[in-house]
Amino acid sequence: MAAADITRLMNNARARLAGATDQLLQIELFNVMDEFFKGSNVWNEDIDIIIPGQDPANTQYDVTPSGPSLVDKLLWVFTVDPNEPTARGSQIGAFMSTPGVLTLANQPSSDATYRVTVALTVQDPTKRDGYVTFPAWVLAKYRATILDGLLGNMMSQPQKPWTNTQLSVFHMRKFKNGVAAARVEWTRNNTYRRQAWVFPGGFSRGSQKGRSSWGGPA
Amino acid sequence: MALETVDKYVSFIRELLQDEKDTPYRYSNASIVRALSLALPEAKKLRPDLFLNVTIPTFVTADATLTTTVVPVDEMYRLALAYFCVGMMQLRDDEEVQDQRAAAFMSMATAKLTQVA
Repeated sequence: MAAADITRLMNNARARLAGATDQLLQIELFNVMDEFFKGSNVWNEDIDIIIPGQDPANTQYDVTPSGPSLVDKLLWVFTVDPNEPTARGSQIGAFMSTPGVLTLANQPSSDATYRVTVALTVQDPTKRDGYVTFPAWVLAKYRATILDGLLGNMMSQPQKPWTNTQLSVFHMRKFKNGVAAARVEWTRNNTYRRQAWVFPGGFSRGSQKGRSSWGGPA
Repeated sequence: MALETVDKYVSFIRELLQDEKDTPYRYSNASIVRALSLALPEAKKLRPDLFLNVTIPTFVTADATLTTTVVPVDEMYRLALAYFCVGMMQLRDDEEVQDQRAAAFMSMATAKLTQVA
């Protein structure tokens, strides 16, 4: 049985989409969540990987999330100092031309642990009951936006009892605005009245070079 | 719940056709079951979402299996299949029926699948 929050979402959708089956709603919910996560970056995970020293340049390292999810973007990489586990190390230049495969700008000369932060999106398989898997707090925080996306996608389907092009445009516009707002909130780490800019990294541990100045990894 | 299995469809369709007395039946089981087999792909053409992960079956008239053979369609759309079958029965050249009635049932079946009707 689905959780209470997903049941509420489905009941809201069922009431507005006469004749729609749950199976189709679940398929569209997957599409909506994929678009939401790719557009907003709100689902992040820190993944520690051990980089052996003296690896050849352009060595590729697999970055694997802990749960059923797909790596969408590389956000940032920091070193982890085993002597100072509470402090963030310096930022590392890295790339991810293939999602989930990390390449470093410079290989370390000795073994090092890097903390890779990635943005995730949804992935198959869904749960046994057909629902896509993602963190519960996302639905709690963005329930209106997700409902708009679900309604907009469903109403745009041609020749269905619930087809409604006017309302589809309305809901999709609200969904797009909601995704954009979520992205802005994420860049500000969900803090109220915080400016996007953060103090340069030279005043904290690590080099100022390459430190983000727009608030992400603060 | 109504219309889960093939035999329930057959009896409901006979009710609409006023063909419930086996003396013998005016419309054979084979004919009705064939119409039901045709109804599913026709419904899939209009509503592919109703048959996600479903292989469309072809029903046979072995009486013993009609009571247990499930018709794989959502309960909201079972009436559309029944209407389609009634329309198919009445499409034949028969002094008992009129073409208008057949056309009306076929239209109702389509409307049931594509509209909130």
